[in-house]
Amino acid sequence: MQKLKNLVKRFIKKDGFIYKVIRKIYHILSSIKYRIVNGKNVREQNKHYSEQVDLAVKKLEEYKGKDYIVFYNPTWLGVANSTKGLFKNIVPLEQVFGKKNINKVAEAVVNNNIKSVIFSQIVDGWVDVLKKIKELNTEIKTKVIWHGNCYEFFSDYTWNLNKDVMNLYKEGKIDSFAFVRSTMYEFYKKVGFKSYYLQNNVHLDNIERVEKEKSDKIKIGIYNADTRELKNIYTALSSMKLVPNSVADVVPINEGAKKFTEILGLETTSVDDYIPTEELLKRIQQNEVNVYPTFTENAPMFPLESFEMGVPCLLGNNNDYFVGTKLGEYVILTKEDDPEYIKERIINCIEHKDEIMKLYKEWKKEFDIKCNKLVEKFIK
Amino acid sequence: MDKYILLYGDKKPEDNICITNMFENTRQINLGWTDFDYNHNVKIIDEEIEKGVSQIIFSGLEIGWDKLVDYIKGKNIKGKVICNTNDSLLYYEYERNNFFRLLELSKEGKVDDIAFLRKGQYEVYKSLGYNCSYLMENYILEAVKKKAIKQENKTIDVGIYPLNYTWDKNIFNQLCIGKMLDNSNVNYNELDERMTDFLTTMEIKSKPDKIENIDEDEIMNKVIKNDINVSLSFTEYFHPVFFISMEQGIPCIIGNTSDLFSDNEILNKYVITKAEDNPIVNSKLIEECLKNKQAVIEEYKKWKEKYNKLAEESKLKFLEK
Repeated sequence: MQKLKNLVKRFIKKDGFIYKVIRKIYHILSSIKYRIVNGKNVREQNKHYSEQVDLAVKKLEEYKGKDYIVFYNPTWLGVANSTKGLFKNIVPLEQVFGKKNINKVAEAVVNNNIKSVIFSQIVDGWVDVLKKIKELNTEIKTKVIWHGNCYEFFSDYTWNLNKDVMNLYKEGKIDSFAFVRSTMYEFYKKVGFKSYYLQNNVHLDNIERVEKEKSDKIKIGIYNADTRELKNIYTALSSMKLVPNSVADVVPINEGAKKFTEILGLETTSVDDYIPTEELLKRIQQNEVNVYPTFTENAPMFPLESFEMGVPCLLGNNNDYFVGTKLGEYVILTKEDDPEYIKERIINCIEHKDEIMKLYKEWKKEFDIKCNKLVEKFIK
Repeated sequence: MDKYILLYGDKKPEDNICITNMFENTRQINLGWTDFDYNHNVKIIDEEIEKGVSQIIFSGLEIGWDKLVDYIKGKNIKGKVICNTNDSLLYYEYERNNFFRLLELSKEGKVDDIAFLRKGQYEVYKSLGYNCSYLMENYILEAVKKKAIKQENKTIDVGIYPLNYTWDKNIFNQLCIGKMLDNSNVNYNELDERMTDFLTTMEIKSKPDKIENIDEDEIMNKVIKNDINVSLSFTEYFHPVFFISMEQGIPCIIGNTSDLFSDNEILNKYVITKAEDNPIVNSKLIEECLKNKQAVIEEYKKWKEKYNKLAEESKLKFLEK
């Protein structure tokens, strides 16, 4: 089929009618082939998504008559934790496929008399749910929390999705947006969108506190940094090497990073796999300090989680936490690609650890109040 | 000092602008591991050895060049490599494999010296016992060929000329500056249609100003048209756009991705951003830089005179090793 397609392509212009027809036929045949080959998996997946929809519908009944509900995808861990940290009326919902499921979710929102629906980021099928809700009842407010920043527009998926939601706003199907970083909020406001500002927050009282084992070594952690270039794991490892007597705890660690630690002769206690958040949060309590020297972010969860576990975390100058405070002077990195600079900041952080943790606790009290106020304003 | 030749490839043309400016004796060779590439490169090396060259410097260790390192070692010629990647870019397999191979060759004694352009990186590998040097990046414009041709208007022309459409160039956050800086127009190197689509969708006043060939003259002609240029990569090794702009008297703001100006308060304040992905911070920095344009350019000239000497010393030290 591919060969035939290539042959025809040579003779027919890409924007021509015949090309479009052939492309459509090719697409249909490919879909049929995929369904035949992967039939069992597709059926199982669809069953799973339909069950998720049913669970979401049940959950919506619990929120009957409420002013707002927030949909979030429980499999997108960062967004899920962010949503859980901010809102009370939350509904886990994965991808929504098929008209029947789309209608089920939209009808449940309408029938339960929910005044406002917030989508924490947009998952496949949610745009259709959103449209259906507006079709059934134009009075229901629909809002989208956009968790990304403009850096992400490098990705086709994110850029196309952004354009889709911008169009939906222009068509009146989305009433407002919220952004978790002030730059994004100001930017979209200036572009002409009704925008709100939110801040991610964490509440981790349920996580077990463990006693730190005594050790002569300085344990420094870097986590979930192996999958994307912007996480800057190699510079972080180099900086750890420069800290005398250091041990790097890297979870997960990939082959490249593992080889690099060998070249550096850097002692590690790394794990070559993801570990559940709860377990990770217990694990990091053994560290002196954690590093998160990413190049770009919005409102990362990990630095706050680390502080909540009693471990200071150095973070890039790419979010709104601690900006303009004494605490920020200690923990915000402004030269993320320089291992010697990061080393100095690590050592300085360890030397002032008690003061930093005290400053964090004071900051967090005010931050909790600020976050609640921002949420109140958004859900109004 | 032993007579030298610096060999460079065509994988990173933006780096070549600085490297060919820093070294007098340079030649381009092929990248690749085929016999054709190897024989071509060996022929060039033999020609240079015949001319009396006794040290060969590679700009990076690109694919297939490890065999050349072996070849020159067999000829009893010094082999040195100027590293052209920093730790942040080791995420990429190509960069990582070549860099790891470079370190292996150094351990085996086949590479006599590795030059790093970043002090922090140099400190890491020095501490690990590698033979290495700290080489200060540079670019000197002997004479400004043209005067600024900026047309008289009240709009602030901001030049954004990333030379690659890659993640580290931080392209979309840079383009956002056009929205946050009042009364501005963005002239940009259109590397991908997405850039134009983004600017149009976000209604940012702009004009594509495509760089067809990454060479000195073309970049010179582009940057000189603007009131200010912006080069805010997340991480960068050489800074050709920055130097070409500043040398012509047009201010250019850059990310905190170099060892430049660590000792200069004025330039540090008005030229280096501490938040590459923050268009609000960066549009304010542009305003401040433009308000102090004269002072910035004067200070740059003074600073550059001293810096040129230091960079030359670091180069001679590397060549004499």
